[in-house]
Amino acid sequence: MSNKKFNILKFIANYLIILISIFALITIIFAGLLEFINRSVLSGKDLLIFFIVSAVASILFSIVFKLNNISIVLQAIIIYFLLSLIVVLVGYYVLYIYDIGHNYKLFISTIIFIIVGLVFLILFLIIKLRKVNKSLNENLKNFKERDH
Amino acid sequence: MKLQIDEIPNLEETEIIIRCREVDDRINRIGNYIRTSYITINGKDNGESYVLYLDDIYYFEAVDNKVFAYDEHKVYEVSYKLQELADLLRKTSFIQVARTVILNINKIEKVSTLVNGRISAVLINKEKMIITRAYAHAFKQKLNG
Repeated sequence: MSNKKFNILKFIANYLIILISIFALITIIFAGLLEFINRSVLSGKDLLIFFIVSAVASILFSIVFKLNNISIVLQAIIIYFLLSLIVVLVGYYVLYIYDIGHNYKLFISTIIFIIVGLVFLILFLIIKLRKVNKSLNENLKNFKERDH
Repeated sequence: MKLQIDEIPNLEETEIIIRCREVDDRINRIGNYIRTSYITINGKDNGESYVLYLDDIYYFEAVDNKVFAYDEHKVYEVSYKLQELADLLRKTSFIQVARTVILNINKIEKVSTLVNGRISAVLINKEKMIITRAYAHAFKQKLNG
């Protein structure tokens, strides 16, 4: 198989993985949210809109994953922010569950959940990254000691 | 362990023989160190030829079908192909870290992980190098010995 063909197949496989992940994630989130506010289950039309939104979001996510000059923490924050934005926008414009004028509680609680999640995500990434970097630098130090 | 160094002024080539019961990690390390110390590369700068010692070289880089060796201050053109160097330096502290770069691990000051499994390396001279994802695993393995 030629290198170009392999790269195209790899790109398609990565894109499909991202697409399926986003679609599954927003479906689970909205199924949970609708259950929480005692509204009817998701319709076929809703799922179709989710799929289209996921397909567009996957392109954005693929671009963010390809960015080389930003830190892994910033990359994760951008992905998280985009995903949160999708949830809020789809909830507002497609499912009409965020009626800020009459029922602001759900909207406020969603925003609080998003912020708490973001704080946990940043803390988790910083701790994990520090651990990995520490181990890598210890191995580097050991290598230099072994080599001299 | 006994260490014997004989000085023979008219010897054509320096010869180092290690006699041991079996080859263990320590012997391998000594062998690698000797190899690294005695491998020299010929480099050219402004038409003048220089003998480059591996210990002084930070990295090799291939640019437009030419390979260059970088030490702390200068850049030399070498006559090897990058793949030839990768094979020649396999048992030394050098490792290929990108399609066009072979890096001396001993010249790395610190490393940190980046996105997509890449690793950023800051060299002793504060220069920054990127270890690409394709070579990151081999790099980690080499560090682990």
